[in-house]
Amino acid sequence: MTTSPVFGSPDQPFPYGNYVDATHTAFTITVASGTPDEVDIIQLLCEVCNSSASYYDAQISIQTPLPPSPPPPPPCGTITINPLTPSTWTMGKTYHVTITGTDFVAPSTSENPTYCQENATRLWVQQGGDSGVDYGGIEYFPDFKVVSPTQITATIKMDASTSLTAGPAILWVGNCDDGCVTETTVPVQIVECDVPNITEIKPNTWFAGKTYGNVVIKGSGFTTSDKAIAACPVTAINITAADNGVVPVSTVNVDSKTKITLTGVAPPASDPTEAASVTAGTAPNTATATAQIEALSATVTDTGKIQDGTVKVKLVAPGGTAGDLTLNLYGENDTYTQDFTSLSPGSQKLDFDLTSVPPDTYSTADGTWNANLSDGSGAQSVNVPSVTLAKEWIYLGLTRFSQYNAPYESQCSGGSQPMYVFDRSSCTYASGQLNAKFISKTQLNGTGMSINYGLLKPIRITNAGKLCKGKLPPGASSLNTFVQVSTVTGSCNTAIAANHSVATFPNPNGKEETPLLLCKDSLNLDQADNTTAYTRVVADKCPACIDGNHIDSFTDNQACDAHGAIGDLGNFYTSTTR
Amino acid sequence: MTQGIFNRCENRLQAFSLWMACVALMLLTPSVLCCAQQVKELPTNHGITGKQPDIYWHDADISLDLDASTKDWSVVVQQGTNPVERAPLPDLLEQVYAIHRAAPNRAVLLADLSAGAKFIGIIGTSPAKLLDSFWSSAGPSLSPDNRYVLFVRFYPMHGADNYEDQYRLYDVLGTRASNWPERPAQDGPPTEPINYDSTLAGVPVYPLKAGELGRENTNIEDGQVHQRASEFIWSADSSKVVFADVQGGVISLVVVSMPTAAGGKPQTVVYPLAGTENVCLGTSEAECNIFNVRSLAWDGESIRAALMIRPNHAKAIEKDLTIPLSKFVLVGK
Repeated sequence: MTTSPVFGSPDQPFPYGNYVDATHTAFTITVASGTPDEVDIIQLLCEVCNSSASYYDAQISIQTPLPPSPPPPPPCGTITINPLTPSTWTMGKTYHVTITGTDFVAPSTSENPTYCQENATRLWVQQGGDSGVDYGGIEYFPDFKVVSPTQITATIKMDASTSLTAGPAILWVGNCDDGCVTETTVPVQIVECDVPNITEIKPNTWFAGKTYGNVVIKGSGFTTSDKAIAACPVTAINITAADNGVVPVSTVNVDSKTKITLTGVAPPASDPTEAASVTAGTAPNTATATAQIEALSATVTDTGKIQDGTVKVKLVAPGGTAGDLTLNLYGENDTYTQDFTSLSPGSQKLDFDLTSVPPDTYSTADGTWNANLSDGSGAQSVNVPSVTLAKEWIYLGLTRFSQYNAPYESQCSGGSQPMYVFDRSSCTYASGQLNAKFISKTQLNGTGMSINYGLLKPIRITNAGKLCKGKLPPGASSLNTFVQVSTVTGSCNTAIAANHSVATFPNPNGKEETPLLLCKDSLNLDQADNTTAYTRVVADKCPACIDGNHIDSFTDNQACDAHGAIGDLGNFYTSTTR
Repeated sequence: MTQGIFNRCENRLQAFSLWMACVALMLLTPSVLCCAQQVKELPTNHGITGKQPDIYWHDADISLDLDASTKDWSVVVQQGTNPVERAPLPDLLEQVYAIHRAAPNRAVLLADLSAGAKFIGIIGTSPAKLLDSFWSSAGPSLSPDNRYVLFVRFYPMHGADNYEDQYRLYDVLGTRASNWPERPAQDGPPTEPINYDSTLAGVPVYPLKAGELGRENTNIEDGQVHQRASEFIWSADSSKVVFADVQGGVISLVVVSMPTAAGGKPQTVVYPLAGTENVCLGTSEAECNIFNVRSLAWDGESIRAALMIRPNHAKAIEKDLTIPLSKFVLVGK
């Protein structure tokens, strides 16, 4: 150790102490830079002038000086928030709130902190506890953004995932900043509104154009006015049609938690038939049920009995509605229009007036229903859409049905006369006698049942005259010569059946002209009251029926005598469908 | 037939009024003779009811009444102060629908046979007797003066193919022989001539020419068939009758003029509706028929025709024509 350079001051090279007071002296010790750390013993001479002196050993430590201390940290910020709007949160809702205040710190990462480990602001709600002892429920809201030190935007989801419950709560906003934790709070109120449920709407079918004065909605969770708060208002009702049209409602009365009464529910007359959504409550607490809006309608639903001049229509309208229905039948030449008065809703069987329908071939129908609603809202003209008849209705009008037969010789009175009966397959003939009246009747009617020769036809209406030309005996004429046949056939080349087959004009086989009636057409012979008296099938030509509206019906009557023995079948309103 | 009956039905009302006036007059002045005419007949397209309605013709000179009170029908003839006579009728008649007096001693009876055929009976009134009779398949139509019967030759009413309407004219004032020109009319065994064919009564006027004999009226070849296409429409003076006929998709108007001299023959002229007048143009041949002719009427020496164009499945269009007789062509020329 060297002392001389260490001790003393420059102006006092000898290290004398400087008197301070009676018990203190001061001196300066200089340790040279670079001196290693060490512990030394130094001897101090304490000499009092003109007095005694003493030595004192003192231990000193030489240490390299410590680096300078860093500057002190800045003071913790003072985080604050202003009152929150809204400060009442309803369960089930999501709130996008803006929080204003001071000293907000954005997190350094994109992930917002939910605990105090980042130098950033975090949000949470505490409910039901004491922050020092019982934190109760804690709900962090990571979905926020520190926009600036003075603004945070946050999404508060009070949905089913939240642990919060209705009641008071505290919104915390805090910073965790290098041990400098600052926090502040603002109170919020969490409420839970009743959740509505609709179980019944009565009536739940509403006709377009009608105003309903009393529609009752039953269910649960409805909020009455005396229970309502701002966050849980009186249950509202909104009705929207499927086409997004709003169905007006005059008043909504929430009578109780389970009953709402609507007045003035008025789906517009222009509404089509569609569903309507009835929504009760306010989002997110809503309930929806469906009602049906029915447009007034009139539809021809069944034309399967058009051969009787009968159709079925379905009229859809509120009870009490009545109105005249006009139906049009479209034919090839005419349009027939008939009014059916004061028809009420429902399925209706309508009979066209067969005495008025002009003969024609009808294929389509449409019409209009002038429906008068009983609520006084006026008449609605309801279009009856055009419908194609199930089958074309060929209406002939009132038609005379005469009758003809194949006379039986056994039924004939009077004498006989010579005749010839040909077998056309062999061109051989037999001569003999036939009843004279039978001969005439067979000539007239075209066929007759003889006693001895079976079924006979006059030779002039067969091909036997040509087949057997030159083989007719002397005396044979078209009036006294017959051909044996096995069945009575008509121009349709089918067997004629008694009380079933009819003959028509023009020839139904279409050889001579295109007839209105064709072979095998089934005819409906109706009374004026649209009931069917008979049915017949077209099987033959009736040349005499050219006189118009005349059909000849083959009967099983075997009469041979005249004088009206075979009278008319009658006059019938006749039609066929095809 | 129908037009004539209608005319008479209208006249019946007038006649009844006149008769009532006459009755009143006779009550006041019994010496006044009344000439009122009363007719009872059935309308067009009458049905057969099974009960014969009253049918009669009454005029100042004669009463002709159908008696159907028994199974043996007859016409009861009461003429002046002569004794009542009866003209028996055949038992084939289903229903009598008209009796017309044609001349002082001649009447015509029209009746329904079975199956739509018609019976025409020529009745002599003094003595009362059925002088001739024949059947018709359509018509028959009496001239307004009741002298002529235009009718369609009979064919069996059912069972044949391709019937043809052949029109014939019968002169009520003639005889069976005169109405069978150029044909033997003597009776054959036992009561009819061996070649007798009652379907050939009268003279053919269309489509057969007068005197033409040999054409059948059944089983005619397709396309050759003549079909009646209208009623028979007589001129008011009974001198002419017009009707429409269709063959092969062409409608022709046919006018038959009555003989103008004793022993004369009817004359037939025809006017085919061709070119722009062809109401069947554009439709198939088969669709041309009676339904294309709504009505025919006399207009002096012209024919007014209300025709129908009937397109397939479309509204019919009426076409009216007036055709002077000068445009008609003599049949056979």
